[in-house]
Amino acid sequence: MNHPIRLGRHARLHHTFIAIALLAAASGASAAGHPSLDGVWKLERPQSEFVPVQGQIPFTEDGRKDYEANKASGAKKEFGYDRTQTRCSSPGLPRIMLTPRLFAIHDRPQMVAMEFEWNRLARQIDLRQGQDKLPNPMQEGGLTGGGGAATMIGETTGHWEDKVLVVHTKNLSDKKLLDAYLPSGEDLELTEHIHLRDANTLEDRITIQDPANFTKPWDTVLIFKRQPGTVSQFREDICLERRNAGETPLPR
Amino acid sequence: MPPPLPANAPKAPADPRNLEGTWSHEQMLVFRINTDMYGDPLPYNDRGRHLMDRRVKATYVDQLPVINASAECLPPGQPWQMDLNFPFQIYQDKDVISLLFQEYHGAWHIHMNGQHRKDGKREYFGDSIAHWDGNTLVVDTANYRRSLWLDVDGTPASVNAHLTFRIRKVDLSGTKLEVVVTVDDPWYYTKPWSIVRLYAWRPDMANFSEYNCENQVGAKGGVSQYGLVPEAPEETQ
Repeated sequence: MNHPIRLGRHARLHHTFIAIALLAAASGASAAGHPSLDGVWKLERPQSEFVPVQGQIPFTEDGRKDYEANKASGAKKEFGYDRTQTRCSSPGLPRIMLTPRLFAIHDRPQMVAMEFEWNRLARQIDLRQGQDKLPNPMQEGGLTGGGGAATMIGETTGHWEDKVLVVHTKNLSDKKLLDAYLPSGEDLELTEHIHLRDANTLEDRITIQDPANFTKPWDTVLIFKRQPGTVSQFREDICLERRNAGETPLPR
Repeated sequence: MPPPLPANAPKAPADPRNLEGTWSHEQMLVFRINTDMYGDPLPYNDRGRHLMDRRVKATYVDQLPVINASAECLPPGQPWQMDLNFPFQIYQDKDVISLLFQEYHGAWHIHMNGQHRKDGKREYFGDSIAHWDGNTLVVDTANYRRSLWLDVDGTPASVNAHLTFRIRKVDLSGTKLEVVVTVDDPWYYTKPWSIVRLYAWRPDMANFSEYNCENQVGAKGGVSQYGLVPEAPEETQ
């Protein structure tokens, strides 16, 4: 004899939650309601330099001087101005977004993490607010040199505005470049608006603000296309080995 | 060691098969694994004992420590990577589990229900396949590109070692992760042996500090400028 399955309130809620989660997964939506950025992505067209959305890059006098000096050195294949090319030092932000290799996004309620195939780097966008944002004992205590020192990747926070992930990064080191040639000042701040143009196209609009090198903020847009598969396909990239074999750490 | 997690910290996922979150080794770093998890001495064979004695002498007697993957800014393999008292994050889906480490920007990809690769390619983190045994994730790792230092003093594992990781949540609130590592490596040991480690749920360590070792090691002079010397070649298999 078949008995109808009777579910308690807790079990019904549990099943309802599973159903919502499955629907969300099928529609590419996260549990929080915005479209999930999860997946593997790659620059639509390889590029090593940022292109302004409008007009020319608004260089300051010093910014243009450094940029042109870097260009001239690069043309002579003298890359002493670029520790990524000479040492495989982290390209930092925003240059890591120019890697021609794959990267994955892990989109979670408290953190959006980007896992790059390039030299296995990771980028974190901290979405925590208020009480959820606990002091980090590894940084406040200085165990790893954190707690204020400028770094290649900086400090990144973000929040969702409807379907757009708004990201702000500060505390970036000036010992790196913005792209293959553009200088990077110690007061550099980045604002990104990241969203899905469609299910397979990711747009990252980056606003670059750096008074040492640019007279006003300027925007550039990167387009990424969704790639099939998962991080399973990532190769274990060792930049130093590629460099030692004569390859360029990043395309020039 | 870091202070206890604040009481108002977010809780770990209740699902015992959901390992996502930020974790950190909560025991003191073991510089040299002298005994297994049952207190027995490591079962070295002559080759393993000879290599370990040589490494210990180089560091503590000759004061000429030898170069290893860690010093070269290369992925040091799971045991060393996970023993460090620094955080790592787990992201998982049904096909792959990623462990992203702050140090060495390590990335360990565990492929669910797959097979070991047969294309002959080897990586520093080896090739990991896994399945669930109840609520324990059982990971089998093989095909290492380079022999491992399992700890700071150089307890060895060869490129053909099989390392098995049994990973599970072990307390009622899911705030501890237990990892039992079994080293099966006839090249250096007479029989398999195991160690156990505990990791604490640490959402307060979610933001990684930057680890940009290439900026130093990638400079002219490389790792040798820090006083490390190349190790004599190991006997090959």
